[in-house]
Amino acid sequence: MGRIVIDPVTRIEGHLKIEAMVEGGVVKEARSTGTLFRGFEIILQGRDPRDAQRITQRICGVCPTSHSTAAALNLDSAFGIADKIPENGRLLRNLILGAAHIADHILHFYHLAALDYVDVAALAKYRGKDPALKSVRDFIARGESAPFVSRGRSDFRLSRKASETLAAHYLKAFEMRRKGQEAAAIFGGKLPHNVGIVPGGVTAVPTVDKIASFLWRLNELREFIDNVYLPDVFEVARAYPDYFEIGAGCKRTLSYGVYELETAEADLVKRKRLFLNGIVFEDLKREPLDISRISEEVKSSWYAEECKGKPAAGKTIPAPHKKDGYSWIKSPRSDGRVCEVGPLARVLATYAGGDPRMRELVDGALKEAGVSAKALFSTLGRHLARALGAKFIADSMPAWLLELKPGEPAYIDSKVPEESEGMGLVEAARGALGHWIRIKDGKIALYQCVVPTTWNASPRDDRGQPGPLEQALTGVRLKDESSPVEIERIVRSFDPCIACAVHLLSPKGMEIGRVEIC
Amino acid sequence: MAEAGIIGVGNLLLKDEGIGVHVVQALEKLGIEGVKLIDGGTSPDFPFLVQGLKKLLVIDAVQLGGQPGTVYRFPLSELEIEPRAGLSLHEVGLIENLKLAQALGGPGEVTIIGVEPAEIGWGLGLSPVLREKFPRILALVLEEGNALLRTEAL
Repeated sequence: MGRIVIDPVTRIEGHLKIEAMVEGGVVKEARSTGTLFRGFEIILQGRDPRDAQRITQRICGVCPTSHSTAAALNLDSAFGIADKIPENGRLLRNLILGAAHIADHILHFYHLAALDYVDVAALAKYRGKDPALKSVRDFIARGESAPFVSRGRSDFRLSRKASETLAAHYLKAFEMRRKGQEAAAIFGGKLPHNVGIVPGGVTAVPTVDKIASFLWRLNELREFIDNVYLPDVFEVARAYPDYFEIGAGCKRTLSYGVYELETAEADLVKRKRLFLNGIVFEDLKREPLDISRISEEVKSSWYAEECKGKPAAGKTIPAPHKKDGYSWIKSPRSDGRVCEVGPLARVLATYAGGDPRMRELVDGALKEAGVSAKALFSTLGRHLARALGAKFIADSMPAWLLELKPGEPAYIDSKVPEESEGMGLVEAARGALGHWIRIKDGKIALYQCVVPTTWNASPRDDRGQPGPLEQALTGVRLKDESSPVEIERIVRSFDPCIACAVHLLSPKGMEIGRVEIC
Repeated sequence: MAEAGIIGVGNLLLKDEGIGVHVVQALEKLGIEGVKLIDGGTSPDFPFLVQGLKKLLVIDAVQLGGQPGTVYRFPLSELEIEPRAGLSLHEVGLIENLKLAQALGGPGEVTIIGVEPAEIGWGLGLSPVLREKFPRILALVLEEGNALLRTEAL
């Protein structure tokens, strides 16, 4: 039996390591390992609860806006103001998070996933006149392969023309990310780490100018999603139809729901949200979310056994030499069931929950792709759901902008209680994100985050059930074991995000200056 | 509009890993003019923040094995990296993003100021070693910043 290890260690700690045992060209078993101890919860202990919004944003370079939203919802509930957020605050939070999610989905598809299917290196032979493509060609000609690293040596199936079009969109996508980030910053103050979303609402007051400025960017994003992003996903799907079957995984998804449609309901699970919460099964039946059923298991994680249990009471005691341990990630489960989280989960929950606009959107896309709804449990299904999710958010945002009341406050003041507990549930771009807090003597006694990739990249649980990503890799047939593109494509479709990248530079090049400070 | 920028990158929750951000926050307090200051955090989403700039200083933790607090300087063009396809967006790293920013008409002149870390681990704030050396590190960055502003853009 052969062993394939994908371990991109050189410059990044806190990364994901994938080990696949291969026999006869088929993955028999896979192990996903998170390599960084999650110590950020410890940092928060003893601090002012209001610091959580600022500090948790720094956990993750890719989902800071989602962390700030989860922290704000968590503190809203702990401070007893969850049902008192002004309408403007609700709408602005939706708009900031929505703009960030759209930018994030575009970023993921074009700048991480598309290179799995588009041979950018082929642009070296580009003869056309597009200035952007010419600049990429010249860039590659200078021997600069990063960031356009070719993935694998084979299995690029798009025509040269289609590849060129997608490469041009890769560059256009940068402009779109910029529009999304600028839009989020209009009300969020600054990006990537916004200062606008706080417990009680949002610090910005909407003005007509700001609303117009946001709308202008939003319109461009909507045009891009409709005319470029979605068509490109279909283009890839036409060339790689087998990926509607490859990488199915556990076929059970979980969503917390996201984007508040009301302010009166304090309970986040009962609150009306644009994307519905719930677990969706292989037969596309939905079971509403029951948060009391969620607990974290640690049999395969490098944590002491007593760290097992409900996230609200979660403990973080490292046990790096544990016998069955192979990951710093815990295994969250709902009633002991393995669940995948992400755009697919929230699209499916909303679809299975009967939302008419989502049904029309998904059914139309399935018709165009020529597949059934069950094909969504797949590598391509995740990409399609991500693009459809982006459209669903973007199409919902103009109405929220129009509902804003210019000049009226978006924030309500509150006091930090001496003793309290809170919970903040939201969807990050890459899936269900939960924050839990316990306040004692006005300070944080306990803070726990269960991030999306904890679900998706979780190791085997107490019953030995592999995590969603491990299941998605098991049984996959590899065309070429020395270049396991199938594994990489499946992993990337989950959009994994291991909390906290450490990007130390270890240069090999010449050093031209050095100053020792004594 | 500023033609030169200073971006600090790193994670504020991992002690000295966050040195770049600590430096930029200190510069913000000093009220530097004529230079765009950017707190890049750990986000890969900065190429557009440096678009339109001609010159850029990047402050980051750099492990070269020198004494903790040692400050290194090298141009981006001297940095060789192994091209590699990452699995997560976190792995679209600093160098890839800087090169991409250049390909998209970003700053032609990129200088990296690296600081050798003493401690990297969970915790807010710098290690005692770097905290002690911080004023000198800041002064060196300011010197570099001034030199950068004086030279003609490429």
